[in-house]
Amino acid sequence: MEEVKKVKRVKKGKLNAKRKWHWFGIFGFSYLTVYVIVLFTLLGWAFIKSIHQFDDFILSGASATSWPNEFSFESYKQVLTVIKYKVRDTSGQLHTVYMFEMVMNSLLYASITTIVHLVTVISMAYVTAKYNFKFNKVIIGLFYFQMLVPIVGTMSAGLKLQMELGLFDTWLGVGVQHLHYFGGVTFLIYYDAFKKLSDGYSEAAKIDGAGHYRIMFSICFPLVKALWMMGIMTDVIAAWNNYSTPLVYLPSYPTVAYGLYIFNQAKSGGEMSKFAYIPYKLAGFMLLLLPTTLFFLIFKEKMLGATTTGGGLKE
Amino acid sequence: MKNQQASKVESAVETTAQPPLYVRKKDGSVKKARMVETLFYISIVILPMLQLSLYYVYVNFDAFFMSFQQWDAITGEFSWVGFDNFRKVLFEVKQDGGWLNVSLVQSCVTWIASKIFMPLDILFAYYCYKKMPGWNFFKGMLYLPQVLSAMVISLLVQYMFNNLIPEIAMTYFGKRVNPMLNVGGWDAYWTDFWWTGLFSCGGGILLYTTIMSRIPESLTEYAYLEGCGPMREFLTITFPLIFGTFAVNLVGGVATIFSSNGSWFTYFGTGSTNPSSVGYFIYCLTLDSKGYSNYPYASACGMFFTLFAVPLTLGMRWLTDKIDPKVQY
Repeated sequence: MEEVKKVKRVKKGKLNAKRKWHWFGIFGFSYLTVYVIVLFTLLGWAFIKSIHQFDDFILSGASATSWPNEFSFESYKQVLTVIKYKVRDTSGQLHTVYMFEMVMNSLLYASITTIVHLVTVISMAYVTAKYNFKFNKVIIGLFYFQMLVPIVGTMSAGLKLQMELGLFDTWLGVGVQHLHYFGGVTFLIYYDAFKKLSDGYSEAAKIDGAGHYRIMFSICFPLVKALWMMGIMTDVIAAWNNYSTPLVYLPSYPTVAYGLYIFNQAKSGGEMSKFAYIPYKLAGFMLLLLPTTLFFLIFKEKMLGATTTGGGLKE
Repeated sequence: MKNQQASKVESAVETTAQPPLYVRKKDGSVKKARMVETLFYISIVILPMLQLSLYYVYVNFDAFFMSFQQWDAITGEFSWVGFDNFRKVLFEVKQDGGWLNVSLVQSCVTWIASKIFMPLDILFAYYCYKKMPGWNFFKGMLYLPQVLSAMVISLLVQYMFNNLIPEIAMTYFGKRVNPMLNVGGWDAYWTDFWWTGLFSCGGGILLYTTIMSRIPESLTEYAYLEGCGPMREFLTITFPLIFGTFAVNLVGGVATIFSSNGSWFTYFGTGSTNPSSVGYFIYCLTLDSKGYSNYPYASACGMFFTLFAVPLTLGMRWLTDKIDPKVQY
């Protein structure tokens, strides 16, 4: 009875006292709010300018801060024909590449680079983790060596090699360029994941008569599915957005990013002429952002959640 | 009689005998299995190692030897010129206001300053890890610039600083503001510096939140019971436990002093000598090269700065090892 009385005597709300706002929370919330506002303002402004009519800037004196006289999505339709780039193909003839072909080039570039690089990294990590060969030390040693010994300015030598091998400006060259396990710490992440994987799975499969390839592809790779799914998502996004590498190594096959970059640079001359093409440029930018944004919104939980649960190893 | 009994026992043993659990394979089967395993291993490893030997080993050696050569556009041949390229690099580095001089200074300032802004990256990851108000939304927003095209964001930022902000300043405040991201001078550098430092702080959000999520809850609960606030907990528990990852980023980031293009190519193409960076300088040299004409000089620049990058990286590694609290959980 006395205990119940004691509990009743406690003021309401005392046990449910609101958490005090620590200064770090206030600072973080305020900063991040400003960050989000600035980011959305930038993207929102770009969208508003992209739905200007083309003539708004020449005839109606539209400016950076003006609202469109009339909303028009004409720029988006025109992007397919206005944004173009002339390239010289392998036979030396001039060929005009339009937006549709750029999109195809982007998809091909993203596919080749992602698949080749990811398969190489995962399979190298797998054999290094699961097979006991002395050469594993060389593989891991080389990885750490290239991380700790940065060698600057070898792009020119790399380009020279591509030209000498006849792989410059070819899709095969792009594939060969990505046939390595360097780059970031992806190799270490997969190596760690395979090291932690129980050998029981592969041994059980061996007893059932599975070969090495079968074990690798059908048993071990699916067990780290969360990791390589996330790897695919991030690599595809990075390849879709990359313009500097295709510009150097694939000049005859402009991707969307590369084409938009060239278009943006080429039309920048004089205030009015620069602004006159703003709706087309920004419509092109919005189209470039659209696939990756949609991709992110659909797979956001997988992308942001996969790593926080330790990579999603199935045991 | 005894023989009959013995034969009966033998036949009984024969009929009731269990088949052997393990049938000894033919001699050499272990060798064959090992050979198959070796062939499989080679089949996986051979192509990447071949690529490595060409695109890493050969390319690095080629870059090294090319830095002592020059290319003749008429004959199309390389010829040895000793240290001429390195003398040119040294001369341009020392030339006050020269392209390479400005590139080096701005690269170093960028790297040092990026370390000043680095805590923001970790602090916002900590904010999300502690599930403070709006954490899920902010986490997505911090990661969003990694998903969106850096080129598009950079160009939008350029429009904002060159057109939008000057127009707002004139229209609403009557003040004349010059375009802040035009070629020429340190104004563009500082504009990009502050923008990148303050608004590109989500690069490590996934990595740091992942590492932080592995910290045992018991540790944070003990800290809470002891009366630790968020910052105290961060400094005494969280940061020491994620120090390893932080150190890897710090060590890996040293190389970017001389290899990062920044956003200069996006903003200005190959036309900017100020602002600039060492990586941008080498990239422009390679891109603007007629044939192989600039390649020896670009390689010499690369080799020259590698002489600084390597000891800096190793030194940073030594330093991080020294101050690593080496805590485990």
